[in-house]
Amino acid sequence: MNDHVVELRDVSLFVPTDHGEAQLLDRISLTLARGESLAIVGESGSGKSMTLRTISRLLPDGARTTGDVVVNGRRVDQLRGSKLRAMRRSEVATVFQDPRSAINPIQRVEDFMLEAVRDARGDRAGARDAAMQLLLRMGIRDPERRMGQYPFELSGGLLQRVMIASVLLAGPDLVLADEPTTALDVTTQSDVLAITDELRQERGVALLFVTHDLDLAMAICDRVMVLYAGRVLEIASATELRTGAQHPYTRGLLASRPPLERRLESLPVIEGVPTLATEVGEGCPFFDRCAVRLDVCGSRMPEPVGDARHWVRCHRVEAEAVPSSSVLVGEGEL
Amino acid sequence: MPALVQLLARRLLGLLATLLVASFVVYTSIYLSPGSPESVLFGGRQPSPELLAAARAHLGLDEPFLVRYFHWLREVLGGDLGTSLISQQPVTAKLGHPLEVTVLLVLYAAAIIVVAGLGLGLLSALNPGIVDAGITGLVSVATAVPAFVASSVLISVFAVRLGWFPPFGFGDSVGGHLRALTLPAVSLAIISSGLVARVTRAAALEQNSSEHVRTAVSRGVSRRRIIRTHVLRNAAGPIATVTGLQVAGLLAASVVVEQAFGLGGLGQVLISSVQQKDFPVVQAICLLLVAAFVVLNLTADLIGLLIDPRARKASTA
Amino acid sequence: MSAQAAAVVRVPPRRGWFRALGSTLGLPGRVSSAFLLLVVIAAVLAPALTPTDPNTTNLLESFQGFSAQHWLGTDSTGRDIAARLIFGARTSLLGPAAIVVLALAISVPLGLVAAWTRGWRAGLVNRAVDVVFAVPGLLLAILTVAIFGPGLASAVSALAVAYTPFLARVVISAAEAQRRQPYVDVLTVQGVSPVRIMVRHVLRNIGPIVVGQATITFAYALLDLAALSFLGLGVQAPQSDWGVMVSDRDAVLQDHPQQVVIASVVIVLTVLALLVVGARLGGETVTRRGAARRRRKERS
Repeated sequence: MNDHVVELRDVSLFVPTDHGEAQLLDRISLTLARGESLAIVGESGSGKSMTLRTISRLLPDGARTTGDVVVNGRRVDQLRGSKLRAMRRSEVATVFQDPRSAINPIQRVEDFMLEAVRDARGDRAGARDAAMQLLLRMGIRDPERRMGQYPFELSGGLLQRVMIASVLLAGPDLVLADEPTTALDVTTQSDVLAITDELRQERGVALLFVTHDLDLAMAICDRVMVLYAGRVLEIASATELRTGAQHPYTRGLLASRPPLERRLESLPVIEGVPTLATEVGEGCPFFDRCAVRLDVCGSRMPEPVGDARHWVRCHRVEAEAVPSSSVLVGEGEL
Repeated sequence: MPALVQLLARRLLGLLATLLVASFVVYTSIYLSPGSPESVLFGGRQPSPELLAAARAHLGLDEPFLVRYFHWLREVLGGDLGTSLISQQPVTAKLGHPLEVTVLLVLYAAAIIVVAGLGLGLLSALNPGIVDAGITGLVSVATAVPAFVASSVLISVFAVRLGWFPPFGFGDSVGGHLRALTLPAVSLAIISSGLVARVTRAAALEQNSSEHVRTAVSRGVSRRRIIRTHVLRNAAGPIATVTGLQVAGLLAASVVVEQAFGLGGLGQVLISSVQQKDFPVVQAICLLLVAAFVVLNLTADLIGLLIDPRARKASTA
Repeated sequence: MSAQAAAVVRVPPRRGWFRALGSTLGLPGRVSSAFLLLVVIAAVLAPALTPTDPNTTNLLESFQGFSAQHWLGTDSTGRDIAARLIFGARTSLLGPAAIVVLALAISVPLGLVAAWTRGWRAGLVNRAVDVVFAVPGLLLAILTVAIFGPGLASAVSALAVAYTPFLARVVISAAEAQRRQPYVDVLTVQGVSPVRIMVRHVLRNIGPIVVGQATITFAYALLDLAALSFLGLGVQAPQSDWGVMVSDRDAVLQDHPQQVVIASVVIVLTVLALLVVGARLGGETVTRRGAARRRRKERS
């Protein structure tokens, strides 16, 4: 149980706005074992990027978190200065969505890749070789030439591979990926993700993968967590989510994907627009859009129902569940 | 890098074209003036027709206009800037010392601009809160203080009241020169320092909140290194361009300051030549100043291009 | 949809523009605007505000300090400083106004045309702009004065020519940015003529930016004209003008800097107010949170 790479225990996030403090995340809990991958799925405004940021501590000015954020057994929410930098250098790394704005445009690829690593190692030649090896593994064919180029000379797909390579170069235990392939076209997407996953598993690196694409999440990751308005609604293994999703929101998402194998008269949609975390009241955030809601849904946030491998926060599921298998478990621990 | 050489070549051609046009404008404009050049020579007296004809021949005024222009251009390129109508001296001799004064003054002011502008801009960008607010206020006021106002006020306070600096003149010996040029250089530098400080602050702030700085922070890069390689280097382009343009603009403002402090520089000679209608001198000085201005502008442009590799690519497109 | 139908779709009149203006200006902008308004009113109502004539000299009363009779004292020849200041506002403000109006009259149509036409016409305008840019304004003014003699007319025309490329550049880049907007294509496809698009739509959209730049140009024109007067090449005596008032060297050297300091303060305050208003109107202030906010907006 204590060999978790990262653990979030009842983590809430508050940020300052023009109208006082706003709560973006409400009691998020998750655990991730070494080498495991978990997808965080949600729409815009669900707080999925912010969840990653509570771990890397890249929060807006004046933001605060409550609850425990634990990386490699140590609490990181109070870290400052050189200790925080050390954690970012060697334990937790982030891959951003748009490599073109994330990489300094007037820096050569080589300098970009070696920047964070050189501080720790002090052996430039060795680091450079390792970097080239990684570029090769990521599918970049002439790494020597690419290292000397500027970002504007590389395509988006190549640039993202460079970014991922630089992230793996530092040898982190956990990679936080914030929609890393959303900006790429589909073929490049699958290519990059396949290589990344291979390398990741080789090196035993855990992955927190944020996306709005449920299919992608189920294809890539071991487990999937569904986030809505800053609250976790469901968490399950990928296979189980595909066939046995329980939360009305998850089922709605699954149902709204156009199927390849049959025709539909019209595509089922979830009525309404996504709720922002700041607009949620006391009850379930999905209340106003849920087709199967109960009265209690509007007044009280449901507690987790299910077992360690698959739990849901839903009054309806709770009401219809067979009593013997509805064990009230805490956070999805394995 | 053939692309860079190509770019340089194109810019140089542009510069030459501009200079050519400017020289034509300078040359022509003098002759638009009511009152012909030869009348200046005679100081308002009515000469005999033979004397007048001789004078015209001497000044080459009988030849068609374009021919005169090309003659003049040829002489200028060969180093001969003509003869002063008033003193009969070759213009080049007359301008020797004033040129030295003006160059020293502009260099001194440029140094102040770079140090004060960059320094204050960075200080306010990297120290939010009261430091930033204070410097920004100061800088805003500075951008409204023209050279002639600064000159008068500085003379009044530091030269007349406190007696720390001489109120006019160029002084002798190197130390004397520096002392004499301090108040003029500061007067010249005020507005430009303010503008450079403002651009520096804006560029630094912009870089500070950019995505690539956030990425570097997420990788645990030290604050100092981030400021050096990500904020400063990226902000350097626009800062250098603005600084270069400001320094180029000093050439015009220096006229005012030289007059106010009686420094005997190019600007002051220009003013007196204008008042005396000594056309060759006016032409020569205007040409020199415009040429210097254009060259400095080009340099500022090129520095900006050198710093940012993307700009190089964009310019050759 | 025919052009007539398009013409029927009227753009609703802007309500609450005064309040919107106030919020664009912000506190510094509003204070500055109030100050500028005061200066303009003082200039217009000049004779009513000061009992004394700005040009009467009285050597017996030279270099007097503040008194009930002469609020701001007297200058080296006994003229009332306050009167000279208020009357001087007229020339000091009229000149830049003329310069800005002239420069706008040339640069706006020229800029709009250059932004609309592609190809050699636009290129020509840009080249011309570059060339005129090559000559700094003050120098051009001095040259013009050299040719046509000193006085406000030559200075104003020279500076108008010098500032035109500056404004033209702003108009061109703003208009080109507008031109790339989808609404221009929509209007073109509806058959609306380019002239109408430019004048009725693009011009109104770039209005604030151009006005902001014009205000800043006004400020620098004021400074340049004052500098010319300081050099004795602009406004001629006995006309009072702020620049002329600052140039009284004898007063400074004899340690009676009153007039010089007062006129300097007035110039700096006016120019500062103009620059603040101009920057706000053009949307140029860079604040800390502003930069971060813009980044966040781009990201989402």
